[in-house]
Amino acid sequence: MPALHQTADQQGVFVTQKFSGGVFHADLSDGRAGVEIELLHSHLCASTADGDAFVIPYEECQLEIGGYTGKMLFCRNADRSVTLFSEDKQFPKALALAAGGRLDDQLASQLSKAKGESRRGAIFSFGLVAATLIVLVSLYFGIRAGANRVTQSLPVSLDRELGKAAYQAMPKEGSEITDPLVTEPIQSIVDRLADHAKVEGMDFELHVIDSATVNAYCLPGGTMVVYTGLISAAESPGQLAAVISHEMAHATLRHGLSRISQTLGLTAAVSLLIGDTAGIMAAAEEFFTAASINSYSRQQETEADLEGVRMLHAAAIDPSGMPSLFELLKEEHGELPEALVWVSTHPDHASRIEETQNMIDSLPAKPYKPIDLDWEALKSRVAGDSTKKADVSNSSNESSADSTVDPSELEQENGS
Amino acid sequence: MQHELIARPSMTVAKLTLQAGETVTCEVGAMVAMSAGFNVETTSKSRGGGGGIRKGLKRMFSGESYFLNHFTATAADQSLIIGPAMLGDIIHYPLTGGTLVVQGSSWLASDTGVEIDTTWQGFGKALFSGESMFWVKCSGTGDLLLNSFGAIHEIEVNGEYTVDTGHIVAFEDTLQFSIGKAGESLIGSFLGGEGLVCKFKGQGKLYCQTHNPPSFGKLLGPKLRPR
Repeated sequence: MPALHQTADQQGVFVTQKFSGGVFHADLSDGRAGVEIELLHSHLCASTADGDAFVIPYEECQLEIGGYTGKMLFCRNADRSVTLFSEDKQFPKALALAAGGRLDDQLASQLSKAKGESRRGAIFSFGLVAATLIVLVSLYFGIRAGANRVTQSLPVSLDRELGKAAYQAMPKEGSEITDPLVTEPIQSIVDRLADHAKVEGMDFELHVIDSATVNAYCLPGGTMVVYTGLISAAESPGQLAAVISHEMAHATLRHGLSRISQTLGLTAAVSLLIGDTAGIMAAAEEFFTAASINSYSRQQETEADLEGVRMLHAAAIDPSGMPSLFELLKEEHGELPEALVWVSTHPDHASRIEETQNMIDSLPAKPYKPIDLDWEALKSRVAGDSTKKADVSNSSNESSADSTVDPSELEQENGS
Repeated sequence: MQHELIARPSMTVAKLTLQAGETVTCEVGAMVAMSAGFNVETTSKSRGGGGGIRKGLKRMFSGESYFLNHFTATAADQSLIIGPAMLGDIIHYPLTGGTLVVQGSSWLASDTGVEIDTTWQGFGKALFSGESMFWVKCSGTGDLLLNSFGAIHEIEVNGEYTVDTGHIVAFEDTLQFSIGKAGESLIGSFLGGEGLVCKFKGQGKLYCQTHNPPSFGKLLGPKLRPR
């Protein structure tokens, strides 16, 4: 092996730069060793820590780019018994310079091959990301549409079963009022609207609950719950009818059922598709499920608003109670900050006012029949009921005092 | 540090003998038994160099633990027995300045001269290689112990070589790694049960495990009763 010394090439540039790398050779223990590679006048010279040295003349050099990073340069001698390699970024350039043009063609073809491979890799990765996204997005929308269609084809009796079970399980916020002076006027609104329900066979069953909470909800199948707090808060029978129509629309549009089938469907489909490979995917699944529940219920709220207006109009009740109700809510609660609208389950009041008003304007003019009830009497009766508990002692639900309920949860169900 | 692999190949544990002042860094939970007088320290840093929170987090992504255990002998000939969680073999790999790319969770222990880092596989490879998203990259000088599921076999690759996904333990960084189909036709590859495979090109050592944990899990999982 030649002694190592500083050598100058023809241009007088010193090329004694050292590159760390490795060598493959059969004589080495384990067949390989780490080396320092020097680029000399006519050859590459590599020396190991143990003092072994390996030489490859530039004329013999066969170059190849590869390795884990795809940036490692391998140099082999003619019979391929010695392989030197280095990953140093400067190595290819320095080698080309030291070889004085003898290796330029090989190096250029290897570099372009490596570049082509990495470009193909990048295109493949990009395509893969895009395909995954497309699959996820189409799956998401496909399931939303599919779940909705499936829900509409299920029998209404299923809604009723669900609603009954849910009503039994639900904590009541107060005792039920059976006073006909309170229930009958509200029942008359429900009856007028029920005649124009979108779904056949829905059996609306009214429960008036003595509670200060301003709320009302309609469970799947038509179990309708109105809190006395809502009656006290409403400014007109029209507003009360608006809330009732909105809640009944949730039931006739079968929102509860489609929400359940959608959540179940998404979870099942995502886990089927993704399996249990990684935590990242599990988090994505959770995100998709949460986003779908939230955004869907906002869409459902808008649907219920419009369906409510349609029902009111069909029942010859002035639908302007709907926008005026939102005006009232806007004054009392104000708007959510812009950024929070998306996460909130209800659309913002301004857009609800606008959308319902637009719908009302588009409906054909029709003589509206006033709601046949004594508003002041109903209000004072309700006010009396909430102060004098004794009046409702004939109620069947006495155990309700200790029941607890999360008001925010009910607020979501509620159209107000 | 001296090492002895006992109960090979299916129940392998490694018995390490350390002299006073010598330190070995192990995977969290790897210690099976040890003689008295070891100084045990748990950090997120590797002794070889660098580390800290960022590397700890990266390690977690690769299937290893955030923390590392460092065992330092305080007297001569103290012994420590370490073993992996899974049934399988352990191999010893002496690092001499090169780099070994290790499948996440296969790293068991190493000398303080070995630096452990993680490297992202690339999106396509990460999805289809049947391994973790990240590889563990071991470089420097010193002893390295790796564990596997099943036995480990070593292959000296010179040219091209193909391994089924999920069977890689480690490979030298002189090998180029890519994902490809097992046969000529993609459909045939999937019908043959091989699907996508890992292809290696170049020259260097490759370590494979005879079995793979996901297949074992799929076989066993449905038979387990929920608790």
